[in-house]
Amino acid sequence: MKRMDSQQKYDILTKIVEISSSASQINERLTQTAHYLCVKDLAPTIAFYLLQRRGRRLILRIAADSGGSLQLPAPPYSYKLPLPDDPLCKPLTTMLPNSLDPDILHADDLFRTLRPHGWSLPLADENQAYGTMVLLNPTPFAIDNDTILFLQIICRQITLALRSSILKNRAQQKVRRLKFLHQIGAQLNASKDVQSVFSQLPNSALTFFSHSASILHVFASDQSPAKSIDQGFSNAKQRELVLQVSRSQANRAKFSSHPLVIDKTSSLPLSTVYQHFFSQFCAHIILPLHSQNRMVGTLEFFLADKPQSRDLLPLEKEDLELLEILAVHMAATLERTQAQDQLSSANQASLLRTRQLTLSHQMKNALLTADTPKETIRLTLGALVSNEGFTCSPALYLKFQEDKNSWQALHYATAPDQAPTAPDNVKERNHLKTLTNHLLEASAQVPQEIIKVVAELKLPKLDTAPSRFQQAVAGKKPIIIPTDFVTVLHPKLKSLLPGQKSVVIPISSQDQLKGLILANADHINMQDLSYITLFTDAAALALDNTQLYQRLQNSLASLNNAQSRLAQSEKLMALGEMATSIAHEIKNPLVSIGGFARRLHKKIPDQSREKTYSQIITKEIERLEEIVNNVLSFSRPESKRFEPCDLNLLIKETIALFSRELKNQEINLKTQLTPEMRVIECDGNQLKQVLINLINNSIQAMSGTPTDDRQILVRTSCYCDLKEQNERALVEIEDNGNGIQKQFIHDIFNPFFTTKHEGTGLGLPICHRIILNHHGDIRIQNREGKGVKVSISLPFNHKIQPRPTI
Amino acid sequence: MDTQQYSILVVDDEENIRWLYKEELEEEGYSITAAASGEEALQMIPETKPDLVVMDIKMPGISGVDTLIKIKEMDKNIPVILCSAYGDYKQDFTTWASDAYVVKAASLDELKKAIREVLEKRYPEK
Repeated sequence: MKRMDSQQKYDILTKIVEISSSASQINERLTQTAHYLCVKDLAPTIAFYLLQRRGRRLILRIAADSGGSLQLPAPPYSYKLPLPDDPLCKPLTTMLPNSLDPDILHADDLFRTLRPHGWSLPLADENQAYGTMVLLNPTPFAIDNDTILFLQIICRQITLALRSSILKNRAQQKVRRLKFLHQIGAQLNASKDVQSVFSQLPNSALTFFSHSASILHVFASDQSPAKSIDQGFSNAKQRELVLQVSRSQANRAKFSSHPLVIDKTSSLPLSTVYQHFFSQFCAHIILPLHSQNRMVGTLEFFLADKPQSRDLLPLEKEDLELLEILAVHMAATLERTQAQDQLSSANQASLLRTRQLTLSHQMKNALLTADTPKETIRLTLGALVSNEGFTCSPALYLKFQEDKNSWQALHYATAPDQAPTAPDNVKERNHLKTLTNHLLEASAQVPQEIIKVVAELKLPKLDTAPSRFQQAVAGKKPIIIPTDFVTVLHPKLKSLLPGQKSVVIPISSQDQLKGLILANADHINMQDLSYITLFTDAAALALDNTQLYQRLQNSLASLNNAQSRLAQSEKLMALGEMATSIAHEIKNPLVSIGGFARRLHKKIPDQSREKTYSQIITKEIERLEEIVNNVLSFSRPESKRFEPCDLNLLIKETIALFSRELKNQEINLKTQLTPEMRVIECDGNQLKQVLINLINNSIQAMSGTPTDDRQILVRTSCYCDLKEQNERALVEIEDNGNGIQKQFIHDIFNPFFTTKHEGTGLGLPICHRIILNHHGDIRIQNREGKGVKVSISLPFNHKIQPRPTI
Repeated sequence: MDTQQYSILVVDDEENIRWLYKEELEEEGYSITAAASGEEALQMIPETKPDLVVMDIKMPGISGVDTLIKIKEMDKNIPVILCSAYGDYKQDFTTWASDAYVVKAASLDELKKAIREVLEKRYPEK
């Protein structure tokens, strides 16, 4: 180094002061300074090494060379010197110039081969070190004390410039931070939703620290992560890695109230995941979001390990403070928006519930207007598919046919286009009508070809259906299942149910499955389903009611029919009775007229005109008689009525008729009449005739029996007939007469069959007929030994209509 | 058969019919008494002791059928012919106790035939 006189030193110093205090960028000033000092031949090469922001390394920032033999690359340089071992850095600790030797220069230093010798001078003031100015030379060189002093003055000047530049930078940065904070705060305040603020963070926060990705975890009230939003990951693998890291640190962040910075130098024990993480990132910043002593979430930043940011340490204290303020803001906003969300969702839910309740009430009212099952089903489907209803369009109703054990499609509905107008309180009734019509429209809008498909659609038993389908049917509760589970039952269902999800609604009443509704469920959720259940329960009830109503109407109609037929036949009967009595009244005069006409006719001489006249009268009367006879031939004067009657008394009265005859014939007639005998409904005269006939027969059968042993026993008893399931009276008449000859026993009830000389053969047939008329039974059998036993059984209660007059 | 041996009681509420029967049957030779009701007949029978009773069924008071039962209770041996406008009684058990049943007609041929048959059956010895 050549020696300089005072003037030269003064000029150089003046120039350096001028450069240092110029307004240009600090790098520019340093470059100018370096070049100027080279030109002034202070050293062939001059370089400035500056401390990194966090003061951990020295980085070559500026280099100038006058010789031209050294080809310097353009800045920025990547040469870093580790502290504090490097001799270049020694002045920073000693605050004194330090001579450099080639063998102690840093191994990969730019100047190692061409400029191995030189001096390093500290750039520092009382408070802070900024770096070193290094003079380099190919050969060893010495500097006298004067020059060193001069160089130190220059260094002080440069230090001043550096310091003012850094202070200015810091001030600017602070302003920027404040602006950022303000901006974020305003955004957060204005925002209803943390997510949108989070998504804007990269645009604003990136200006401070070069984070490449971030995650926002929102915690639920129990402090478990409820929601995570992330952004900035270059690929899914990276994202997965970061999420893993984030999860592993979540608990640690929960208990910390301050930002947590984890980087390669962290003293924290790092997991293998983290070690992998640090191959892609240089730092992980976790901001716990606290609000009112509650963790509401964490905001995490991931700083990429980019080459261009190597000269900057990731964060400074102010940055962390800033992030802390940001975290407080975020937390408050999160809390606020969560509260707002809860409030609005509660509000929405209650609105929805009110709407659904109103709707299902209206729908139920509409259902009440239906009076046929068909209309009920149409209304139900209409309510299900309607956009104002449950938005399950389209919907299909299938009816279970018990006799065929299959399901028949009955109705299909799609949502109508237009909604009915809002209800007006005054016109509530009209609205109900409008609503009903609107709901009915749903079925009316179905195209003809689909109606045809529905009419032909028949599902077999559900045994083969997917289990979830069967589950719905068995549980009698609506269930939402994928449509595929339904369409599997029939290929045609695919065209009828186009949605992804379907709801299966069993319609049952009194625990009996009546039908099934299949409807689209793409637009409903589980809560809707509970309203649908409420509604369809009501629909099932309405369906039941209309079915009952219809059955009632049917039976009423048939009752009316029967009644009118009865009235008709009563009319006919009355007419017949009248005709009979008129005919009878005519008959008697007719007999007199005819009788005397005949007498006249007999007295009138033949061949006279009068004979002809009387002949005509007689013939005409015969004609009239025939007409009247036709009316009367199947009629009798009065219809016998069945009356309560004491059978024992009847028997006693009948036997009394025979007292003389019995005595004459020396017959001993005994009776065993039960005191338990009840009143019997019968025609007393007819029964009396039966008894007379039978006793008469017994008396006649005694002719061959010795007079000292002629016995007849009449016995009554009551018994319960298990076959006919009624209580009956039994009358038995036993005699010890001749009995019935074996060959005749099958003929005794045939009319006109008789073994007696004087008999007509009608006695027993008439008895048979009377007993049958009383719904009773008569048996005649030969007794063992001698005689006959006749048994008559009669029911106590029977509804016998008296024979009609015609 | 000697009809003049027999007395017949005619019971009918219609006077013209009673007269018609009386004239016609007297012409046949029978001696005829007549009663206008069942009650009257029941009073007359013990006194007149007719050989045969010809009786209408539908009459005011006791009906012919009930009168028949009472006559039979009184004397089982008096034959009774029931005579009515109704055709349904012909094969009916309600008239079983009667000895014959004849549907009333302007021509009395049926009745006369029945009377003859019943009398011949009842009094074969005469």
